[in-house]
Amino acid sequence: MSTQVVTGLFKTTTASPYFIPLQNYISEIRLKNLTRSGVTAGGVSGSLTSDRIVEAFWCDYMGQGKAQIVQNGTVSGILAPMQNGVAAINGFTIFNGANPPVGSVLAISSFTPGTTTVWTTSTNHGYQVGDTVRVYNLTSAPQFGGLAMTVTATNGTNTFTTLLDSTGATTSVGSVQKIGNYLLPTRSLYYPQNRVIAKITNANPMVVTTLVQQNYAAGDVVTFEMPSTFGVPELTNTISGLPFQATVISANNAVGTQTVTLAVDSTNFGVFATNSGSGSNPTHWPLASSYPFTFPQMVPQGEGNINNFQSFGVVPAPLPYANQDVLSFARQNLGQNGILVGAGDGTNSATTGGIIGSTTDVWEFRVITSAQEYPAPLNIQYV
Amino acid sequence: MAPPINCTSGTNGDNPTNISPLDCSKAVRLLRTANAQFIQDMIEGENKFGTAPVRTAFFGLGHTNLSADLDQLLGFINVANYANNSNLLQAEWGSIRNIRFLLSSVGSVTPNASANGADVYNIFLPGQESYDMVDLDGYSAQFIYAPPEIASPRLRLYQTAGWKMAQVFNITNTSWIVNLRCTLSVAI
Repeated sequence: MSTQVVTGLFKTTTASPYFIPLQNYISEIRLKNLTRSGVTAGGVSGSLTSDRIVEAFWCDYMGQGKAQIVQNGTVSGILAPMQNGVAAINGFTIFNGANPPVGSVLAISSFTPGTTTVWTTSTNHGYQVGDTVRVYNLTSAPQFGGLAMTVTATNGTNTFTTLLDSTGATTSVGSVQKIGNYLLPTRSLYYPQNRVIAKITNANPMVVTTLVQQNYAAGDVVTFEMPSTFGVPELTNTISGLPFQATVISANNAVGTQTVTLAVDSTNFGVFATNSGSGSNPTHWPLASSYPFTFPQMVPQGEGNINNFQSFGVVPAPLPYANQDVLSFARQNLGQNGILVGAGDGTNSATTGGIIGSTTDVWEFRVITSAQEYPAPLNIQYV
Repeated sequence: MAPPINCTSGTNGDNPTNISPLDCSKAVRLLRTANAQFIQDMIEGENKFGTAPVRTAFFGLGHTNLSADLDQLLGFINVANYANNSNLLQAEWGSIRNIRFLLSSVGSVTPNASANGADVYNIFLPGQESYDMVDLDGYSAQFIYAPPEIASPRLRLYQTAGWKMAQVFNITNTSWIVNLRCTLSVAI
């Protein structure tokens, strides 16, 4: 007994994962790449293509990140042989808002300090740009322990890059675990999300870079949690307790950029990560001797308007009052499920593979949920 | 979300550290400087053996796994040692500085999130009116049970139970609520 809960089309244009949000328990998903099967759909001309995944299947007896796939063999005329197999990496990740998936723990063998940090794992990590990872157990660099960061680049095998400015740090062994992806709903199910600050410019207007990709919009209002270890005392108020509030005038939410521009002239503010202790490391992340400390965070407060920021080049919109109705911090507070379709080179390669490839493709998907399994798991008859 | 601050004065070498009395004082200082109002009135001292007065306090909402760590804190007053137990809550574990701890098995835990990969326990300290609730009239939490006669009338094999609600919680002032993050020193 089962119910097909949804079917539909989606289009991909780059080798980026695609998230299908759902609210039902997911028992099974079937996916077809219409375009690479030679079918014209969704305004994209079909092109039967050799060596591309054209079908993918997942059911709830399979592991996360896996997919049973059908891949085209070499095209001959108007036919291509079908090859069965299992996608070793970048298959389907099923998201349950009440119990988000986490990856296995991998060993970090070293990292290369710099304005961005390149991490090296002992084994192939399988991470993709946009994944969220947490590093810990960094014995020689404990000041980074516990940081969650968005992966901004990988070499496809054993290195990945984050926006952490680790200049001056000592490299270390440690551990890393995938805890999400920027396309997935947040674990808490609640907005707004706090974001750990990677760096702050001393400029007019002030630009804040976050370690994890964010989704701010012009008109959002934020406050700051800025421990003394991280300098910039102007962003907190230790005397009157009135919070320092700033309005977002623009945001670049792209993975790898992750900047928020605020209507604040910080030219004469303190310099990020500057303090009187031996762990001071101006403009970079503090050194190990500052450990332990609270991370600097940007805390979404609400939304305002952009009426009075012409000095920053911001034209009030919509006129005449420029009252924003972005509500970008809010969303329906529903438990969510969903499916993240992995991406790679569109094949089942063990090192560079993934269901979604880099070409423009239209996909058809079917999702099935089962009857509830009580009092004990039933022999579910799928359609 | 409530602004997080890490415990840094504990002794377990992690980040955040285990909870300490000084961390509690710092959290209370942060809230009071932001003009957050206490939740509970003080409990005056009385002439009873083994009891102590309890300060005006914020509630600290945390996980039951914190109970052993709290018991180790110098100056912690278990509810049994309050001078007056007339206004206790079932979940209340005790008090230190200006915090009275309410513990629950569904308290917030962030797995593997510390510098050493340990679970991080989130202790929420709300001041008065730091958050509110929007509750649709007549649509608050409902527990709905359907017996086999209704859920599967033909063979009466299944029964169903579930809940639904339409409520939204909203932080009204992020300066009046703090998330004090800590790890454990007493292993589970």
